[in-house]
Amino acid sequence: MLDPMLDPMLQLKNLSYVYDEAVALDNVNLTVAQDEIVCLLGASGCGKTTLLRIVAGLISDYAGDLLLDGRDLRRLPAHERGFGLMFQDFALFPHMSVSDNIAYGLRRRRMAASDIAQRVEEMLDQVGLAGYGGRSIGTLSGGEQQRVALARSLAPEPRLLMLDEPLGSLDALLRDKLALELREIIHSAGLSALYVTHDHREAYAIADRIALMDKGRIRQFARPFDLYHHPQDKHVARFLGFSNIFRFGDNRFTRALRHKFAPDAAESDAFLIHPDGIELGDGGGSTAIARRGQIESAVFRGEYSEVRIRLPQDGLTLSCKSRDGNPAVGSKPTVHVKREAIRRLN
Amino acid sequence: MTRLRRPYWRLVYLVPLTFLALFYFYPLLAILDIGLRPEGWLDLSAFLRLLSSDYYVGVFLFTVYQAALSTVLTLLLALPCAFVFSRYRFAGKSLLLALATLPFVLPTVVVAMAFMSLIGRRGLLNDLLMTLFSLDYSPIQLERTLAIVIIAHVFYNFAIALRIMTSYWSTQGIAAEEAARVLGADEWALWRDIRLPLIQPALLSAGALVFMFAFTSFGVVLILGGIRFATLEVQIYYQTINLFNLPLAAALSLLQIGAMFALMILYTHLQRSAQFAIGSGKAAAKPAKNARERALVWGVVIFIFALLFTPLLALVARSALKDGALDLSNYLALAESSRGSLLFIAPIASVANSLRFALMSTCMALVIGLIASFMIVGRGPLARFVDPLLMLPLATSAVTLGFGFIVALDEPPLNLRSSWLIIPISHTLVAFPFVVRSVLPSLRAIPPSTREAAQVLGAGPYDLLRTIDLPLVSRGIAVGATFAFTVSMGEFGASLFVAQRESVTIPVVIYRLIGDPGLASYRQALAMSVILLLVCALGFVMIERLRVAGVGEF
Repeated sequence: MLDPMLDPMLQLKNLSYVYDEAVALDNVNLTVAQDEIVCLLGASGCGKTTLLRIVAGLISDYAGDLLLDGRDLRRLPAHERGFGLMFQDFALFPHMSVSDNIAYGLRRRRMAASDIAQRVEEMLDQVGLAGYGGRSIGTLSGGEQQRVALARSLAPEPRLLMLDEPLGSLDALLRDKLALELREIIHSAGLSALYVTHDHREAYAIADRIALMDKGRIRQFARPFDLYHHPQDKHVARFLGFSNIFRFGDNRFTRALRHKFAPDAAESDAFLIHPDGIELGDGGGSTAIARRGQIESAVFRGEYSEVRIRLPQDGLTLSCKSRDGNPAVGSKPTVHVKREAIRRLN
Repeated sequence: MTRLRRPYWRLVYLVPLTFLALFYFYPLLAILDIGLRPEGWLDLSAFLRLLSSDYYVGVFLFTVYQAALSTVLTLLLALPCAFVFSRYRFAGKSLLLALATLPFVLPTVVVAMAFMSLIGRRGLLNDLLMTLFSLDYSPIQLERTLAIVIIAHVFYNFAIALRIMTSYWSTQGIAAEEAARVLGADEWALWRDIRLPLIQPALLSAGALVFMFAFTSFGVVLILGGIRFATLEVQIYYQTINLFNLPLAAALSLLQIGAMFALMILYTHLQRSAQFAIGSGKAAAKPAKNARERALVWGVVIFIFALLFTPLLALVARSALKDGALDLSNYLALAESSRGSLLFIAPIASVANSLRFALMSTCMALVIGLIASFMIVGRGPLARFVDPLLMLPLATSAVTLGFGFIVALDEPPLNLRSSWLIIPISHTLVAFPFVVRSVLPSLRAIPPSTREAAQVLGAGPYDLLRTIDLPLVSRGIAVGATFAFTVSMGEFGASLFVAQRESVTIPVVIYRLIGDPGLASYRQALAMSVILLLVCALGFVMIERLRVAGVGEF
């Protein structure tokens, strides 16, 4: 893949937006390259939907620049941008059939009726709803509505597809399956996409790059792999579900870690002990720091167990994964923390 | 809202604002001017004389008295019926509840004629009694009494009170009642301690509404009561048309406007608290299970039929039956202009007038009402105060509007006094709030994301209106249009002020015919009333069928 920073199709420069005297977006910088899927990841109220609405053209009184292929978009109204937006509540037109919903964007582009009919059939096929064209919206299930909404936003072949929590209303099992399907569809259509979600697993699965947002700011903008392995600060680490966050001066154990693995760090520096770098049992090797711990809790998750283990001598508790069955609560395995587990945080 | 982002779109907002300024506020100011500055300078003496004159204080007190009497009687009759409606399930209940609202769209002249046909001097009941007992005089002498006026008011307002109380009671669970029963409350204590306190907000809200309607009642009082029972409304009319005492009429109008605004504020307040107090439980309506309960249900059904439908049936019978046989001569006579009549045209000609004006008023009311609705749902700074502003005409009596028209619009630059245009304009003023109230709920129900989805898919402002907004509110528009049409067909108060000889409408013609002493005119009035009744009943059926989904605030 080309370096996305060099080839931005969509570019947000120092974008800020104030709504009701509260800062909704604060100096956001973001790029989306051709054929790239960028996820906006964050808790509700972090500004990700606002950002989507600005790009879509539904909000125009923002500060900063929004550029498409280097062209300023501010004065271009939503209906002339040619973007696609899939709404969280789907926003299907209740007074139109499934076909008419999908055809809506095509009709606005003044396509010939026969081309529209053909394209609608194609789209119905692609989202697995062949034969549903004449149905009315009210008769569809949630999953079917979601597919119609996707088909409607894809049909006009938008330059940029935006999806606002498109899987939000579906149950977890269906979500994993559809996330992959969505990625397939978006890539096979050769689209660029901005994808909003609050679920980091969904973002890992679907994104080429993830912009993690908090309180209107982008905290980290990175590839999923980099985000997972090198969260930039405490907030990002916590949002991604990590809990072993300490300062080097916190206790005996953390000071030992600093002494062995990060001698240049200050006692007040924050760091993460990445669960992937923690091992339970006899392994570990000489490069690791080992301690006797006691299992406080173990939650069986299938392929692994989520374990909280207490180090009594040092007065701290660590979270990690165990792949060797489900350890018994109260048992006392040895904990090995490897060098690569230490991730410095800003 | 992006839909109207380009400034020139907002220019259409001027349409309802200009209309209101010219045809509502300007006439209102003219009334104020005549009432407070009759000689060109501020002179409160006419107004103060009015306030200190025993006669006019009497008129005001009588207006309050008859409205209060109508309200109390309406509530007393509607309360037990609402109880039965919310507690018992029986065949045809919802149909009956829907039918019971028919009077709401009936013109006052039709209602007055209906009661005259039933219990008037030449009414059905008197005929019956005279034949039965071989009397040579009419035993029922209700015409020109307060009683017949009050009965007509109950007829008009019963359904409104019934609907408000039934829907309120249906949301109250019966848990509190069952708890009280377990604690030892008998039927009497249940009413005193539980049911009445619980229904109180709805009772007050319905009461305020009924009081307002009775307070501004014009046609019914004028026709059935006459000058002896003159309310403020009727006095304004007499002072203007018969005595041409404009300053006094203006002062009376000011009194009327002030009272109505106070009542409107009270009503809005009561309504808000009634909505606030709605309970969470659902009172399950049950079928009547023993003889006593069945008798109760039957009693209520029969009472509603008697109150609401016998006058209308009497009217139809009176107009088309002679000695027990069908006789359409009354209708055929409509094409003739009887000699010596106050009318200068054949009564039937007014049907064409009425239809023409109703169509025009409907179109104007639709345009103004739709734009106003969009204004109200818009996010602009205007929206907040536009809503109550646009509803002001609803709180102003038709007589006040008509009076304002003739004192304000009689000289350049706005000289419409002798133009027939003044009729559809006055009807539009009365009708467009109905369009707003019908359209607004469905317009508000469109989620913002639906519009935005269309925008992102390439819909410009015009596309948005054509493909999203208008289709989604089409039902509301149809209901509003029908309302506007029916209201215009039956409008009486304002028309009576502004109608010219050659532009009279059906209600005005009926009123003139009643005023004629001859029996021929009376029969023509009967036939005309039935024609108007049918038109309005048709409109009513359309409204009821269109709003199946329960949209609309009426």
